Amino acid sequence: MTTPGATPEPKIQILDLAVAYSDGTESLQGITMDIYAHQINVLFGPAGGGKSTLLRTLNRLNDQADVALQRGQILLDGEDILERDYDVIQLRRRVGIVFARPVPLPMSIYENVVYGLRLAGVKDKAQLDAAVERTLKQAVLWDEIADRLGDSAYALSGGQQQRLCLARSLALQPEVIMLDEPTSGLDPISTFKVEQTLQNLKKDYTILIVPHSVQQAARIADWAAFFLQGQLVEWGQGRQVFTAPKNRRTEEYITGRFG
Amino acid sequence: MAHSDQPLSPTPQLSAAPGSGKRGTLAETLISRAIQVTGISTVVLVLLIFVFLIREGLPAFVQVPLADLLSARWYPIEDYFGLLPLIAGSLIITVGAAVIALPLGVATAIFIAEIVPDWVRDILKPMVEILAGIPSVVIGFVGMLVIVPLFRVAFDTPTGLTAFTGIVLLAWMALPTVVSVVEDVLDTVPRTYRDAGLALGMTRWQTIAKIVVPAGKSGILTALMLGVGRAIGETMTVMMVTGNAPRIPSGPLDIFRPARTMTATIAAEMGEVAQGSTHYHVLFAVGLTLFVITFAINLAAAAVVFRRTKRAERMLS
Amino acid sequence: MSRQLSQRIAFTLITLVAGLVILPIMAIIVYIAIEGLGAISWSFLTEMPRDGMKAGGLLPAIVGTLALTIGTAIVAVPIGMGGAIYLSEYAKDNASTRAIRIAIINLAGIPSVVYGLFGLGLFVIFLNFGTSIVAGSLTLGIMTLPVIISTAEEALRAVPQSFRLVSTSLGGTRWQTIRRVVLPQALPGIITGIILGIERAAGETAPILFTAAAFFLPQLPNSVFDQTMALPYHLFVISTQVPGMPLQIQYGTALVLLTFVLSLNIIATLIRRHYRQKRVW
Repeated sequence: MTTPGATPEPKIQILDLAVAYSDGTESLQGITMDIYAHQINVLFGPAGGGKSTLLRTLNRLNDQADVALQRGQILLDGEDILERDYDVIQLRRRVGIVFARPVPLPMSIYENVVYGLRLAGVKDKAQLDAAVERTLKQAVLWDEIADRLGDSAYALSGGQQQRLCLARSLALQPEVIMLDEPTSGLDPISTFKVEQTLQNLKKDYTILIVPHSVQQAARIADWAAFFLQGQLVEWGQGRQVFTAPKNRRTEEYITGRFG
Repeated sequence: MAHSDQPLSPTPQLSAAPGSGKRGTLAETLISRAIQVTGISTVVLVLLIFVFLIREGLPAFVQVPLADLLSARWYPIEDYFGLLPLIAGSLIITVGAAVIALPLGVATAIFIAEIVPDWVRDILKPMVEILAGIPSVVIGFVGMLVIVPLFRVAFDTPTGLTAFTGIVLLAWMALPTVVSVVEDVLDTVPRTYRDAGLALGMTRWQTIAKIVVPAGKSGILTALMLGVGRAIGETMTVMMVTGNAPRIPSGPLDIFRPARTMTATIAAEMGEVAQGSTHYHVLFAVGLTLFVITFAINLAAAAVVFRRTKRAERMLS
Repeated sequence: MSRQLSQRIAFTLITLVAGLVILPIMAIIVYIAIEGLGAISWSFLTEMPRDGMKAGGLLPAIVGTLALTIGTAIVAVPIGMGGAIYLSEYAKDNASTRAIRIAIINLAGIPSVVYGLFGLGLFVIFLNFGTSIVAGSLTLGIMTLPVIISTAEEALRAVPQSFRLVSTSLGGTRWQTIRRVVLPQALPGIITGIILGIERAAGETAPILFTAAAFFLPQLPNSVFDQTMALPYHLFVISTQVPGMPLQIQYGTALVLLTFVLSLNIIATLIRRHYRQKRVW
């Protein structure tokens, strides 16, 4: 876990961010917080609190959704990514995302991993091979499937598929990796593997995760932010938030009085 | 793991990649534009069709007095351009075909969607689609050789070429449209409705008749309209089996006498008229009338469909 | 009357009706096959018609129909696919999209003979292509558009949204996503739609009556600006316009046309079935 006391360096600064969809569903209201580099940053809270919206805003996947209102700033290394002519393609390569349900693309394992690189115009076979080996190792999948990279990605188990999706994001060597309930459909062993992987990855990456349970949040959080109905209720070091929450609603949620 | 010294920023290759420009590459922009243009071209085409029908059809309304167009006599060689018999012919045959096709189509759709097991369904569905693929000239041909002699004897008419012959064949030809639309709609009626019916102790038939079919009502209406649209536009079959006599029926039994539709008139006569003659323009005017009628029918059908999707979207969100 | 009995009666009635609808489909095909098979021979398929079409073969009509079919595809496929991709991947839910949808619905509903009039007015007369393969192909192509657009759009929409999201999240542009993920997955469905659309065009008579078809022309077209014989129109001509036509030639012609059209139909069905089973999602 992180060494308490040392002030981490913010990778992303979110300033007074508000997002609303035009059909009035899940939205964010005046969010201000930092995402710290080389830390596991956890967003937690009941469903519909705005966590997924925040993730999708951070790499502008929401551009294609029906967003009625977007206000505030998101600074990635000090640059506002919400600027109209910010290069979103480059942004998405720097800020990767893994979704709740594993979504292998309908192609081979190998092609899945190098998909982002191919889009970026990488053609060199050696470079692609190296990326596959490196990321599958990072995602603790290499030993299981190294001999069948040409198989369809759909031949893998659910847990393997999810780690494949993680490897696919890692192939672009992003600076930030966002994971939206990456273990929600997985068995305890696969879940443990994914969590272990995250601990390894934070040396190199900034990790932002929406865990699928409070327990998981407490297990892995260096920093934790509690979201409720579009508002950031509490944000602080993981140990503090989960052992001595400052806000009554945070405490009630952690102790299971509502959910 | 030996990757802790990996660079954290994207590799140089990546920053030079396609799509790294502010709004994508030139190729991307060109392709997107081209795709947009093709999308919009459909609207342009409809307008173009309308414009050309008006351009060639409008002179008819100038050259022939409206009272003559609305008269009961179509005899172009002597400049009688009364459209009423043609409109009446189209109307009778279309309405007749719809009246037959709707119940048959709904029953067939219920049969395929609700009664038979899945493997039978997998055979029957493509078969109905095959019917949609049989060229109308082939159906007209078989109609002439098989149905027409049959009806000549059955209804004791001199030729067997009657409005009713056209009605029967058209109804059959409109069925694939009706069946597939109704079947789709029955398919979208949620499983839970059916289960609820059965759980209440209803028989399968009661569930179908009292729950499933009423739930698909708007779809059945759409099917009716699309079927009518299909029937009114059918050309070759009606031309081959209805006898093509332009007359206004005087009673209901007249469906057992020959009739002539607007479509058959255009098809039969356009090849022989001088371009630019009054007859030529009148035939275009008939086409324009058909265009407007089918436009209205399809617009109405579309309105039903749009309303249905909106409601479905609301229920899903 | 017991509820079980009423169910039995209703199901029996419905089965009878369905039989009344479905059995003639088989009957008509079998009937034409039996009656027409006697006329089919190598020379029937490869020779020019002779003696006022009462003898000889169908060659110019077959070639003409093939030419019109290919021409239709050349016109309809690019526009149809572009339109479908636009509606499925680009269009927002706004007034102009609704206008396009209404336009397509109406294109689908316009009677084929009205397409013939339009083709006559625009291609034959206004653009001065004359009665020709070009004019006929353009007319049939436009008529085929709605079929291709709606089936292709359906195939594109069936590709899971999550694939698009993943591709976008990995830095894919919209077109990269379409080309690498969406199109390959939708392709079997799109091809099915194209074949079904072309099948319909191949069997059409009314649109080519005044745009392409020749009554009797015992020679092969030299260029796309020539008029041509075509199977559907030829069948119409020999069955209604030529007295004393041997029945067997009529049935034979119907059989050739039906075989051509139905094989397209069956190919389309097989492609769809094959890929539906292979699909992973």
